[in-house]
Amino acid sequence: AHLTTLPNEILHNILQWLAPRDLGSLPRVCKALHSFVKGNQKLCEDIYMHHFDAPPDDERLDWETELHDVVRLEIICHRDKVEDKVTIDNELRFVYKVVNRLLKHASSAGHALETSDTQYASRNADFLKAVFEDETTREAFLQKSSLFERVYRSQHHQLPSVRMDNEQRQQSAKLHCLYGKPILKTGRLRSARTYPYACSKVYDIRQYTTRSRWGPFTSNGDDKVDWEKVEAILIVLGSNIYTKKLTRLFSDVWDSPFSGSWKGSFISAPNPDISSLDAMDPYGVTGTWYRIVCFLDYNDFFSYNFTNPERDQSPLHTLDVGEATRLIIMRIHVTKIEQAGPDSEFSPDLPIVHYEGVSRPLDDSWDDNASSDLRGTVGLTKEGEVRWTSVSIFQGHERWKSEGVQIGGVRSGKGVLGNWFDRDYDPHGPCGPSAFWKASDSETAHGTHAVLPRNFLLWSALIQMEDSDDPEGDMEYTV
Amino acid sequence: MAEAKPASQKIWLVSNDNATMEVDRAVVERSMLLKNMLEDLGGADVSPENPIPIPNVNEAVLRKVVEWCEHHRNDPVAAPDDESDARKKTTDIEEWDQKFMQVDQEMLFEIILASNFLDIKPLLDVGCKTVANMIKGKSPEEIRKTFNITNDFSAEEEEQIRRENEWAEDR
Repeated sequence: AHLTTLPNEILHNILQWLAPRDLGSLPRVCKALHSFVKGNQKLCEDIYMHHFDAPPDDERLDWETELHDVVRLEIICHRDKVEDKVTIDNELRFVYKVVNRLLKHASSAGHALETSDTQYASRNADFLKAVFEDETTREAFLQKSSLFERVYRSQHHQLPSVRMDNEQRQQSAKLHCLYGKPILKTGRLRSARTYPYACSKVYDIRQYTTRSRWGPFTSNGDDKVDWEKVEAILIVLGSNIYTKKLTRLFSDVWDSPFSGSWKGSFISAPNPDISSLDAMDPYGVTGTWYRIVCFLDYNDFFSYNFTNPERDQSPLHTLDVGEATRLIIMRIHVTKIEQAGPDSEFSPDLPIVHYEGVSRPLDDSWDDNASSDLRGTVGLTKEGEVRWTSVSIFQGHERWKSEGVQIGGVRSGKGVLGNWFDRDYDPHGPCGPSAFWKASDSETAHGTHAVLPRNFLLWSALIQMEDSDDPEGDMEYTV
Repeated sequence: MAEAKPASQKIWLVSNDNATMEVDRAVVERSMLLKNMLEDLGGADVSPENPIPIPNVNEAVLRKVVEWCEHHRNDPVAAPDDESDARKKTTDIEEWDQKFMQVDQEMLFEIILASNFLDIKPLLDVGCKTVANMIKGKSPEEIRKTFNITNDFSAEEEEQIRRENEWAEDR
């Protein structure tokens, strides 16, 4: 017997165990192997399934193309130098395309992440995590938005080797958001912080207009997500979470590359008593959510935005004055489900879900703004992103409003990044970043302890031991 | 169900080169082909004088296969068609099996063919994974050397096929 004379069935059985990249060498060995491998979709499918998640049922993949593309992605990302990764044929577009496809086709590997009770593990996400392990890969593809261009120009005196167009900046910012672990520093020898640049975007009130729906959407009114805005939110919140030592508590959401950045990555507990409304809700709204909200002292906010002599279109100078951070628990439930009408700004592909609930501070800080009633909606934008709107209500009066997008799509574990602002769209502000992600499907988990993250008590103890003269002071927003 | 079958019940097999060997029934039943056959026959008729013929498999190969079945006689039988689980399997091979598979290529392919014929799925998988590991990460020329394959492409064909597979190379 000889490799090339084995029955096809056995040859298939052998070759299915190969790595995707081996499919590039085999057909070059001899005619028999060439004709066996070339266009062999079944072989490609089996190899794909040995290495990646089974794609969702409604996805019909061209297995050969998928394998070729993931191999190329690996090859590009394993190049030694940043310049080689980006410049050859400008690989950002390709990387963007393949990363998005892998996340779109991600599904549960059948168990939870080691570091999480609420997020499924995925082989696609693990693969991407490995591909982006190398710092030069992150530099090549996750640091190409205008924000990073500013950081590199002013902090490292580097001009970009390749000019990125607007679309590519958006792609890079979105990749960073999907990567999900905020990049707080750049440069290897002399590092620079990204936070002041992100703040200058997040707290620039000019970013928020009716056309951008006061959320992380583009300013031209086309209802598309502006990923550069989302990226800035990710960095500002990530930096506050890091300085508040909250990273360890929420490492699955804030410190794990690509985890939860795909549709359905949140682990729903089987619940036989599910209400009929919840059963019809595609977004998994009902439950308990963690929320983080940051804000500037209003004096800082005002002077930053309105005492600046150069009020042109260019970005404001960097901002690094310190913010207040609130960690909040939201308990919400579905109240109504409706179809998007023909004139709606939402896509008819999924319904619009209305919810109500309450929000309470999780830490000890006493802040009226953290305790309120809530109501809001979730819908699918025409572009296909999951958009959340919420309104905080104090003693029956609407006060703050927020707009956000869910990273990774419907029922992702990563949750929602967005902005909050005055419910009357006051052009004098204030505004700020906010994020929320799901903790449990149960809205009524009794007592706070039932929803406290792992290690929460240890964290509280540590925080109390620390000096409490952080810059938040006793600021109050007057209505 | 046929009569009771103590684990020590003996079965006799004969290779295609006329070597007869005595094997415990529990060991023979690692082969789904023989297991089904014995269940149909009851196994009572099998004797040293009337062994089960195993065509296509010579003595040396049959002894190797039986050795493997002996070692794995108590392995739990995998549920048939456990597709989802099978797909997650890696090319990891347990240590004993790795040593077992350290044979010349001719023998390796014979074991694969025999396990395929006898329907011993776990042995077939170990064999196939062993061959796959010999291919992994190799260049076309290295694969040719490993398996003694002649390059039967013309120079033009070779160049064309190289271009076809450029996706797997760094430019």
